[in-house]
Amino acid sequence: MTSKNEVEARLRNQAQGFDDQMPRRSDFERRVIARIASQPMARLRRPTILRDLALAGLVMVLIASLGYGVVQLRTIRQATTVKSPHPSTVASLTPTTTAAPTLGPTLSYTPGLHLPTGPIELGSVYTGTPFKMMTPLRGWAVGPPGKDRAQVHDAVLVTADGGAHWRNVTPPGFSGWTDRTMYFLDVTHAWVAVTPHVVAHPAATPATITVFRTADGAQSWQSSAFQLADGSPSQLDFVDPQHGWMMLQVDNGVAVYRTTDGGGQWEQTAVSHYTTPSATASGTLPMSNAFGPNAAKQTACELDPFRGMSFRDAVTGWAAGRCVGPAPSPYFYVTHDGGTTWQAQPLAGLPPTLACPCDVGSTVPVFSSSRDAMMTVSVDTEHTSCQPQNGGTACGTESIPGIAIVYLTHDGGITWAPHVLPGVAAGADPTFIDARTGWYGASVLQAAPSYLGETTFDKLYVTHDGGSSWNATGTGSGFSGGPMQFISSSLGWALGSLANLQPALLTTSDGGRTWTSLNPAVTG
Amino acid sequence: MRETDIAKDPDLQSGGRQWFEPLVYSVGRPALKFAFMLVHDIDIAEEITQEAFARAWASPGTPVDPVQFRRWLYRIITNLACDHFRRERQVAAQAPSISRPLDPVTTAEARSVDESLMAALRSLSLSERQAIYLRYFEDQSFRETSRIMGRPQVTVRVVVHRALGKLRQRLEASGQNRMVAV
Repeated sequence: MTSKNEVEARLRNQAQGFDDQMPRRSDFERRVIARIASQPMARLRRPTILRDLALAGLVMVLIASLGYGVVQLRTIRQATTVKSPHPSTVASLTPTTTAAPTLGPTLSYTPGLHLPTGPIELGSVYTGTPFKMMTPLRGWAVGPPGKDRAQVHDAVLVTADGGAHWRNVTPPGFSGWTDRTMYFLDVTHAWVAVTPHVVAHPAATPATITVFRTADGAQSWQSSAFQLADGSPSQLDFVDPQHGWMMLQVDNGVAVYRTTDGGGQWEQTAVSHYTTPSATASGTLPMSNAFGPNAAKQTACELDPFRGMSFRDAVTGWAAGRCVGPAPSPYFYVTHDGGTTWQAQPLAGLPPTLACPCDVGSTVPVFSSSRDAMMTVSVDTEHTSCQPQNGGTACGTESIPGIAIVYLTHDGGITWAPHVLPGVAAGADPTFIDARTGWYGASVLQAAPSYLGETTFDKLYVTHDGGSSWNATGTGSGFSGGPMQFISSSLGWALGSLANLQPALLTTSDGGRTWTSLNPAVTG
Repeated sequence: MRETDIAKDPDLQSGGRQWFEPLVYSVGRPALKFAFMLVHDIDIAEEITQEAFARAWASPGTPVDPVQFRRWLYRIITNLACDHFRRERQVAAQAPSISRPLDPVTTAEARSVDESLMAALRSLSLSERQAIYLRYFEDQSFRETSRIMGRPQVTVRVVVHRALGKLRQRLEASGQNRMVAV
């Protein structure tokens, strides 16, 4: 787990070596002077008549541009809905990992991102859900993972053969360097929200949030767009094809938007600002940040903008995040009116005396039925060490992963029962298929760490009694940690790694005891 | 010298460079680094920095006080970087493939001591990169950072805090990817 203090320390360390990392530019100053020498200084006062003529010309150009822009916008909007004449295929429920490529009907649109056919690494560094299987054969994924604008990354993919072959169904119009998030509800419904990556400067135009949606398994996509002064989408969540929520990172916190028509129209329901540390008023969620010399003595809480919200139905949902400081408690709020008003929901079962200062994080509930759900709470202790540097004292703070607790509800989220998970809290969450059966990839603290708090994967555990007891699924199973998902007591998938250390999509058909690689490939 | 004094300076009115050259030598390199942090391409960074100096030179409102000149120049650079990304988005929207040859920054980052941090920095928005660079790479105070960015101090604090949070998320995500990869 990376703390903000560690990020700050790494930034300062990077700054010291930034000169060396930057490509050399000899005679840069001389080139600047040569350039300015070739042009005179602007005249300090232009004649009024010339200024007026220039302004009049500018207005004419703006009017012409606006007219042209409207025509272009209409053309683009007409082109964003591209219906296929072919119906979607119906998958059988027979699992297979060696099926021939299932191309299905030809798409009537060109995917927004170009992917070459052949092997692909699945996953994303932006989206919390790298893949989601809906049936033994059909599911969605995002990939390949990447971070910069020179790479194609986060294309939207579908499979119809259990994950061996994937088709690129990235929405037309989704391209370039963007902030983005996705949500996959079922076999046919999915949403992708994007905004241009560079926003938030006063000189820039307002951020345009574009939400792509499909209701036919990506045979076609529709899009809608709205503008904000600033914001980038960080999480989507839908409970049915109509009702959904989107979290956006904005300048001073997080904004929550809601749709009741499947993503066509969005309205703001709440904000979570760093400047409202204890807010519970309508439309606000608390978020606080401690600054200054006394920061370590204050508790600061924030909503997780990437995984911080989930809804059980159209009215009830939860917001989660983490609190840091001397006496933190989990950040866990509930709404019963669709996200407008929020109340803190206390959680029992935490150790009465934490070795603080601590960092206590909670995830949002994941429902396996309308009544059964799980969420986790992790407790990290913060270790601060100081050393002399440049005549002063430099201090750094490391997070040491502590206990992880899974909370389970069987009454729709009214009461939650805690169960301590094996190992330490290393960021992995358990996954449950019903009230009793779940899996958890446990990590332990590294015996000889290269840095304080380093963890390593230990074992895959399974529970059949709702989290009361956890048993290792066996050794040498081929699973070495990573996001996983089960759709039955036997069938599951994971993004793990193989013996040759290459990342891979793995699948199990015996409840996690053995795993095989699917070698996913793009077929078109 | 106040901004309005420029108009009265016979040297400036005659097109002399005596006042400008020292500023190029004192602010040029930091400005180039600032532009490089924003656009992550040394060629584009130099072009933007040169253009910023040229605009500062050509503008009658350019302050000559070194501190004010630096703020002025950095804001021009930021606006030019915005324009650059806006143009790039328009080009990207028209071209389906975004594969491009490695640029010098790739080489530079390959040498860097903290590649995951640089990659995470590239994922920030322009204003966040601007704030992080001024705060941590130039060690500017929040007060000075807010003056350069032209935004209230409290806003800059929030931008920095939010950027740190994003960096933490990105670094954790890349750390998880590394776990998968090894």
